[in-house]
Amino acid sequence: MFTDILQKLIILTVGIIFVSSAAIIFFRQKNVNRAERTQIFKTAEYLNAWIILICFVTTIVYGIFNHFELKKTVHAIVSLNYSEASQALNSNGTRYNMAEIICDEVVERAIKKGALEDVTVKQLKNCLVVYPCVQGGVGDESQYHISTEFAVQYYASKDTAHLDSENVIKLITSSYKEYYIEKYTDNFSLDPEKPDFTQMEYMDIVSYFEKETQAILNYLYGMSEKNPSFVTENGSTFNSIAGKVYQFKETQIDQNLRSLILQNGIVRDRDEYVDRLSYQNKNVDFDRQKNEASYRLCNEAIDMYSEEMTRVVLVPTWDQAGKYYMGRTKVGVDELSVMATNFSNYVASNEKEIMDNNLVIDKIASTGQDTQISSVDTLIDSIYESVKGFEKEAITAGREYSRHRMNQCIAVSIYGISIMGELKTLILFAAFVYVSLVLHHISKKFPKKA
Amino acid sequence: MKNFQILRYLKKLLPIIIVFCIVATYGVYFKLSRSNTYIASEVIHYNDEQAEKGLAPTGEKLDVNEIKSSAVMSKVVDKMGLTGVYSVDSLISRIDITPIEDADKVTQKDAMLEEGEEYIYEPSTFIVSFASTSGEGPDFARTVLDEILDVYFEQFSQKYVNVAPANNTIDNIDKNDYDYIEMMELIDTSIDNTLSILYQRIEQNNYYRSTETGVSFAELADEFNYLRQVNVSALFSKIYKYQITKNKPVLVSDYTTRIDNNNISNEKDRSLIEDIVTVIDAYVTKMRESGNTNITYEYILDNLHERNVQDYVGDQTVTYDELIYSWRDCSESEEHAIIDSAYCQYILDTFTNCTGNCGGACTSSELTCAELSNEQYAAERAEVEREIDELLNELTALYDITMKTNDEYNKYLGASYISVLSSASVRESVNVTLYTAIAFFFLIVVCCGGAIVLGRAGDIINYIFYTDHLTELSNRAYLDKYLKAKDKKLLDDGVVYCMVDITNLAHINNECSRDTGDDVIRMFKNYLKENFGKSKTEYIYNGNGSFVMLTEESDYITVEDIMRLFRLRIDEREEHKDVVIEYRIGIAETFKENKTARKLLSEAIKNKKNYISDLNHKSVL
Repeated sequence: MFTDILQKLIILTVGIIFVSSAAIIFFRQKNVNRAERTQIFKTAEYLNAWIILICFVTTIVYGIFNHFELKKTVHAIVSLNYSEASQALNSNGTRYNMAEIICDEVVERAIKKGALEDVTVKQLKNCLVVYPCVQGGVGDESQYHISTEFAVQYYASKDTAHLDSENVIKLITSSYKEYYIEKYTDNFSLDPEKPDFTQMEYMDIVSYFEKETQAILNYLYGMSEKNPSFVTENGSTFNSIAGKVYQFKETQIDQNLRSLILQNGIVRDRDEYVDRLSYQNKNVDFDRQKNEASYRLCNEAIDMYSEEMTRVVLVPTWDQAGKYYMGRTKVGVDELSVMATNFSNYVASNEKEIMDNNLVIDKIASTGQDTQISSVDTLIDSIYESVKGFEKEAITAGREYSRHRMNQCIAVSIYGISIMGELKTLILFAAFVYVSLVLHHISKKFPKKA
Repeated sequence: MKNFQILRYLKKLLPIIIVFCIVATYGVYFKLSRSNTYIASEVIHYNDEQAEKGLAPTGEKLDVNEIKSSAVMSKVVDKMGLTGVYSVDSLISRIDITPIEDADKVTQKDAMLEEGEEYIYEPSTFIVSFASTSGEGPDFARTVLDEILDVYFEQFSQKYVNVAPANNTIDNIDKNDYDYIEMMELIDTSIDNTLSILYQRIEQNNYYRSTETGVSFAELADEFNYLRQVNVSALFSKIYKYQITKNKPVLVSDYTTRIDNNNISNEKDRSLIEDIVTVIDAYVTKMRESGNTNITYEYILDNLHERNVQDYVGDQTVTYDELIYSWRDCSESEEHAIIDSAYCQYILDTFTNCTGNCGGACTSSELTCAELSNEQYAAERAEVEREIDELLNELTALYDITMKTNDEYNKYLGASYISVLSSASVRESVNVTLYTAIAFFFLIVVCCGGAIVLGRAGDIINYIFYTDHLTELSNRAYLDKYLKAKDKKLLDDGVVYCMVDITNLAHINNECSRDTGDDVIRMFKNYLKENFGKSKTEYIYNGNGSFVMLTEESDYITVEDIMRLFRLRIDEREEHKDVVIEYRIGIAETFKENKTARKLLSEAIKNKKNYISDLNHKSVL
């Protein structure tokens, strides 16, 4: 602020000298004739030592203030390096919004990251501007352009004058990069805390492990669908890791752990768990009854169809591969048959669930358990460690793929003060000072009276 | 009158014209800049093939003007923190949506319509623009447009693609309003609904994973299932086992009413089923009687051929099918109500069951048997309350993740259904530079034209008022004007005033004739002009045979020489040799003491000397 005022003061002083000298010459020119005027201009001391010295000193002082002023302005270029950017999309397929580069969350993150003091999000945001480096037009298709490079400009205000401009722009761009990677790049949510297995029923622990491994498998299958041939630095593919996880799930969780718990009837609170399974059976049975009723009604509805009203014929048509086959006209009976099959499946599923629960209840009731508890607990810990290991391996492979595909997503280049630009300003200012001083010097030679 | 010389007119006023034009052009620039607006525009395209039929993916009419609906704009205002600064309506009025038609499709449509065939084509590409004032700047226009489209893409997906939301229906549930079992039923129903929506999403896009939350819909479904299987069922079983209730009579009344309602509903359903069966029988009978049941395969194939089966033409379910479906639905509703009644009866039995520990007191009491007899009841009730709170917290957190994942999925779907062909570009509504340049040239042309007109008008005025018609030189009025103009100015060095008076003009007029007098005046003018030649001289005829020559950039000696030559020329004249001409010549040059025009002129008058040109005798000084 102080430098800004001083800089303006210098320009104002030189400007006043220029204008007043020009005015003096203009008003006094009638006091001399043309020949005298020419003489004055011819004999003026254009290389007066004082003029040159003052000009030099003023320019130096101005240059110092100008340098400090220029340091307040700095800009950076944010380039989007991933393939979806050319469709104006984020890397997760959502619409890209340039304004997010300086959104509240990014600015807040930058303030926290740099431990910037005495500045609010609003104050800092007011100093930032973002715009595309190249913008197209909408006149015709040849003008269409999707911007993938954006300039972020920072100009320090009086509220942020105490901050280092280059540091601020670095913080903003790196915060944006973090924000972008967190929000828009491939992500896999980790369960941060180890559950307290001692408080969980053993069969619930099996369900928990199944859930966790299934999540890892989903992630790996999803990544594999994006790029099945991607090979990590360790020589694995997403499918090979998924195969390992699947195998582990089948053998260690579904067979070993579940079997050990089931066959030994291991349970923490026998009564409570049996009550729970009984409730589940009762509840599932109501669902089974409903599904069975629906299944029966679909079949009865099919039976109700009058033969005369359900004529079908074979129709030549073609399948998705473009090959001909003989299709048949579809009627309500077809729809009802499909529905009946679905309900039948639901009934079967309900019945299986009830039978599974009954099996567990029977095993708990018929077997002693205490002998195997310690080996089950050991197996649980071992499985947990393995699952976490698979989680890490999957995430590492995913991040490696992201790096490979998106080339770090975003590249940032920061542009500070240009020395050439500063020099240009100084030369122009020096010329201005020189002209003003020379004019002032000449104006003194014009007589006040004719 | 002087010749028409454009450059002469322009030369005089050129500096003024340039200064005026620069000032006026700056004024124009300032005004244009202040009243200019910035227009940010983006080109969007609806990718769904239904869009070219004017339809949204759901088959509803696609209304592009939803981009500027208040629903979208109010969200934009909230998101940008502009509440109270801008009204929604004022921002809506700045949005413009322009369709871009595909020329090929339009031609195809016109051709088809000419053939009398139906052809539906609606533009699916649009330019969406937002205008900001010069004070708000171009960045404001760009940012608002970006936000508008962000919100619109999401809303489009919500409304037309990802229709069913996975809402948290148990958020802020007031536990005081419900009994434990009711609350658990609400939680269970909420999970059930959420799961069915999540399964729909999984079917649509099995591998979709939110980058923000890091979970897929399948993982969310697994989490909900896990909670249901473990926590919900544990709570249900505890509530049943310990008969935990807030108010047994109210609970019993509620479930009894539910059974009664089911019974009533079943009565209605049974009646409906009978009616439908009657309608079905009547329908089949009528169809049989009217011969519509003897349908051959040719008839069906002809019907298929008549319709263009390549195009999906919507639901083609026939009335007979609908009647059968109605029968099935009503029957299902009845059967499910019976099962629900059985469930309610199970609840009633559970909560009214007496284990005998209370000594049968519970049958006539407002408390359950467990409440009366089980010492652990209070502790179990408190435990259930705590566990419900925990479950609600877990579910709320899970719903938050579900909502975030769903929101991102909406954005993803929105962006896949609507693509951006050209990202936001900002232009000025008026090209200030171009219009300023045009204004400058226009002003130059007008000013130059004006200068020429004024200059020529000046010539005419000069000719009428300031020109002597006998000699075609400037007249006395001009000299007066000249002197007045020079009153406050100093003359340059080298200005020489010269006066030539024909002193015996009256005598020549009287003796020879007036024409001879005029001829002598004209002869003097000619000789003066001839002798002053190309010197920078202004000639004035002051009347009564008096000439004034105002010469610049010269000196006394030069003018004196010119006048000597002039005298010689008079003495050697070929015309009016018989006329004796008496004349006086006065010359004065600028010096320190006579630097004003009047002083110099009076000096010239003072310096006048007499001459006679008598060709019969020698000219005498």
